[in-house]
Amino acid sequence: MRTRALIAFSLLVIASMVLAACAPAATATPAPTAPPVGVTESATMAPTAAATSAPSVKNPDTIVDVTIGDPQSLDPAWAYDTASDGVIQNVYETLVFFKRERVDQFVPMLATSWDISSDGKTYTFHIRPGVKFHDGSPMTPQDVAYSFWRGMVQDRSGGPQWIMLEPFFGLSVQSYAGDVVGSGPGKGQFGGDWVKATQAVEQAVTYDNSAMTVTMHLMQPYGPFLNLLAGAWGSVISMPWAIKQGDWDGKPEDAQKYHDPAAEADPLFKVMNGTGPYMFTRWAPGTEVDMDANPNYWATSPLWDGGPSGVAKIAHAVIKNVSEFGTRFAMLQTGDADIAYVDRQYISQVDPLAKETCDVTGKCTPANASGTLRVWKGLPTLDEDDIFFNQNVNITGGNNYLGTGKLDGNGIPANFFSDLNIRKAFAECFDYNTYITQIFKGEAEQALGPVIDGELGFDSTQAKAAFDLTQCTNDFKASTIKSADGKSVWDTGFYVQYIYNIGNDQRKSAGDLLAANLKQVNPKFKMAVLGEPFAVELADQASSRLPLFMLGWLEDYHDPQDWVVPYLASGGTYSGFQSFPKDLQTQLDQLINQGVTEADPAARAKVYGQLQNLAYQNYLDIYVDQPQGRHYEQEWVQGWYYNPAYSDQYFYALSKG
Amino acid sequence: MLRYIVRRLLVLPVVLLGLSVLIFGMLMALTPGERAVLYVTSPPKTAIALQEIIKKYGLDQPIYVQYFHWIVRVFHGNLGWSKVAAMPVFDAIRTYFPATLELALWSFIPIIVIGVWLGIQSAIHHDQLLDQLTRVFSIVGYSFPTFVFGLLVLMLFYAKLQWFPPGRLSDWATTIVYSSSFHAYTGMNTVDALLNGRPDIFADALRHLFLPALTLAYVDWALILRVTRSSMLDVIRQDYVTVARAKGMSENLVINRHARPNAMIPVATIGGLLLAGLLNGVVITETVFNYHGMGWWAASSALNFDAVSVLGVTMLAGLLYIAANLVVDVAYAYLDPRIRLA
Repeated sequence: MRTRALIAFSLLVIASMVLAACAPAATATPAPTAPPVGVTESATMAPTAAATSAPSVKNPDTIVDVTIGDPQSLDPAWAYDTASDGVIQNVYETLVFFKRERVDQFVPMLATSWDISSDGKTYTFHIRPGVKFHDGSPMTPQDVAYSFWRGMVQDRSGGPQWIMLEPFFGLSVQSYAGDVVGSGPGKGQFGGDWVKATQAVEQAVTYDNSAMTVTMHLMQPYGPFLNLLAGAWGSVISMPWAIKQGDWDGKPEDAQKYHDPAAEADPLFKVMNGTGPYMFTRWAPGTEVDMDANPNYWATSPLWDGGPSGVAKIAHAVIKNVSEFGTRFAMLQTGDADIAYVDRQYISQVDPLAKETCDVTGKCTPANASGTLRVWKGLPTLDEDDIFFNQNVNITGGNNYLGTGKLDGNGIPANFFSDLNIRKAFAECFDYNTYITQIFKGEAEQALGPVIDGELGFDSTQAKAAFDLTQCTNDFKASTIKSADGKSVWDTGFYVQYIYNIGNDQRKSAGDLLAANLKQVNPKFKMAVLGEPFAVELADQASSRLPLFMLGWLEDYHDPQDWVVPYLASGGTYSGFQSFPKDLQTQLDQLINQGVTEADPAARAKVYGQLQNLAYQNYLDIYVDQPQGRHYEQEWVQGWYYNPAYSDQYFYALSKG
Repeated sequence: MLRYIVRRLLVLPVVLLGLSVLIFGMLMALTPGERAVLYVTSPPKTAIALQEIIKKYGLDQPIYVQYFHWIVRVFHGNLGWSKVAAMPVFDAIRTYFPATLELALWSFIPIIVIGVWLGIQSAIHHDQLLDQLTRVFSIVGYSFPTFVFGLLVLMLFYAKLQWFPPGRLSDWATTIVYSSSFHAYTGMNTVDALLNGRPDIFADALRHLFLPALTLAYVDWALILRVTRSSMLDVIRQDYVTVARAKGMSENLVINRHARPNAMIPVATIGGLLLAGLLNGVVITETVFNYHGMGWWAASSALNFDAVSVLGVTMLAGLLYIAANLVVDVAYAYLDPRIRLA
């Protein structure tokens, strides 16, 4: 009896699940949501009508963007990842914004206009009146100034504020505490005096509430300054609201306490109060971020011709973090996802569902009449993947990446890649065409140097590394690196480890391709292709322990300065650990400084062209690819356009139907 | 019995301490730089950024110093901050454990009930058609990779039929659950929905549970079935079962009163460990169905070198396995009166 009862119960459990699945769609009226801290009362959602027949547009009031990655923080001064910025750019706003798809043209946003002094060092922004934060408080010029002060003072380790510090405090500044404040007397710009340094910050960005202006005083002319302001770190927050959350009160004597907080110690880590078209509702870490349309949004006329205006057309926006592609794919098929990220290796599974295919200009052609998706292809991205050489590897404590550490056929010496012939040979042994056609399905172009296609200074006609096994052989034979007993590289052979981040199949394929060609040239040339967790690869790269590795760079702001610094500057993200020859490094640094301080775009282009050429001629890296991206959306999504500077979707421009 | 339980519980802190020392010891394999990149998601933008992070989080301190600071915080009730979960570790456990508990319970009951029943029937009808079928069923189930089965049922029942979606709740239900009018008593959506008088949310939660529960059940049915069958076969060949039949008892009585209880002892062992395993989270199932519970959190933490989260998960796992073993031992005494717990 008991057994039967238990079995019956178990079957009841299963039956109830099945019945629940067969039940009609929910018709519940959502209860009003209590506002989170610091956010204005969200509008009560309208009751959902009982479904009598399947709607042609699923969830018409909600747009669901299914992607990978979770925000690190919702504080625009702290966040430095695309997942965070994807939320921030919908909730917060900047003084200027990109003009629709353009990354080199700007429209007034929270500023109505701006004046630039003749010497290029003073920018005066006229602040838009009548704008309110989501909590209903008015935005003032003091809020604008405070946003920039706070960001620079906060300057958390590994954060984005180095971008803002450069124009205000000098091109060599990398951190507020180290380079501006200083670690002690005689150090930095203020000898360890936090109060004086913070006063300098507040003098660098001044405000006039009555004149409705904010004036920014730069240390030197800075060509890409407006680009910087359009980034998420240029977002404007409410000073009274921030103070209410427990953040800095703006007094210089209190600033040090708020410097470099851990994410969890940052008062604005999980709360938002912007001026943007969407209001933050909820963040379930690892799962999703929910936003509601701002019913009091200030933009009553479009910022660009044909642009959106008024309250956002879609009432709710949800960004979901779904790591498994199969699940994302299923959500696309059912319509539960309006937009979904598709990994490159899976595009062949999704493409058959495309009803039409569009290019970056918006021109669409029909594909599969029974499809349900729209696919945008050939979208030029602002990122590049390269294989980096380390010309003087750190061998402190031993270094397995070098094998035996000697040129004996089972290793390489630490200065192996200091030989230009070696670097040239490796670059010439890489089959760029096969890599792009096979791995990227043709949706990429060969990179020519650190300055990508679309940037000032890029010249598509510039000479580039070419796949040539004969030349590769010749360059290896020309190498001046010798073994302990005087033998050449060609005679002894070598063993080196190439590192990529596990999970990135493209970078693995690049390594496999290079290794195969090296072996073909000389069977004694051995290159092991090793995957490491991303975190480990970053750590080893920053410790200068990797001799040869592949990584990428995604643009912070659209200007060649953001490329040449990490790739070529002393102390750059990559170049800082690659040990370029001193003379070359000096030359590169001088050109970088010249490029950023030059006001004339034509002159700047010439400088960046020179930098590009130097990088190529010295084969500082193997410049591999600049990929093209794709975007997948349901056919009922309207209004999407491609701006590569966006971290994620700009929901305000979108509608459904 | 009580003394036995108390004695077993007294071992718990020692085991947890040992586990924490073990994990911290394993962390010594990571350099400070490798642990530091938990806090950066892209190449350090400046040469000194990584050093600043190492210094800020004390990652260059000797491992025993770091352990000491951690254990002192634990004694103050602070398990640290989970970078992956973006909340304190304790809060992360409170968030993710109910999700896993809910999935585990909705899976475990059918696993045990159906697995045991099939195993008993298989043993009773030894070498007959039913037995052959259940053995094939169990071999296939045991051999089927979880992620393959999970993706297959997801494609069929969600992508194709749109019956059972992934995740924990639909968007409309999520909005209600996170509103101020809904009280999350347990964190388990099915239970809380009933306690809040929301049968619609209960039904929605069940819809979302069906596929992950089915995926877990299918694989584990096979295990319980095989163990039960094997144990039953052993028991029904015993002399006392033969004597019971010879005395004229009905087959039902022979099986249910004499054979089954004794056959359950190994099943109890496996079942206890199975439950503990389910409660610790099933990474693949949770990932495939976007069901964020302990498994998902544990895997994400490990992949991101989130050491404090890994420690938190490990502590909880230790706790659960000890509790599960204790429950199993107590169950032994119940199932077999010959076993006396000192």
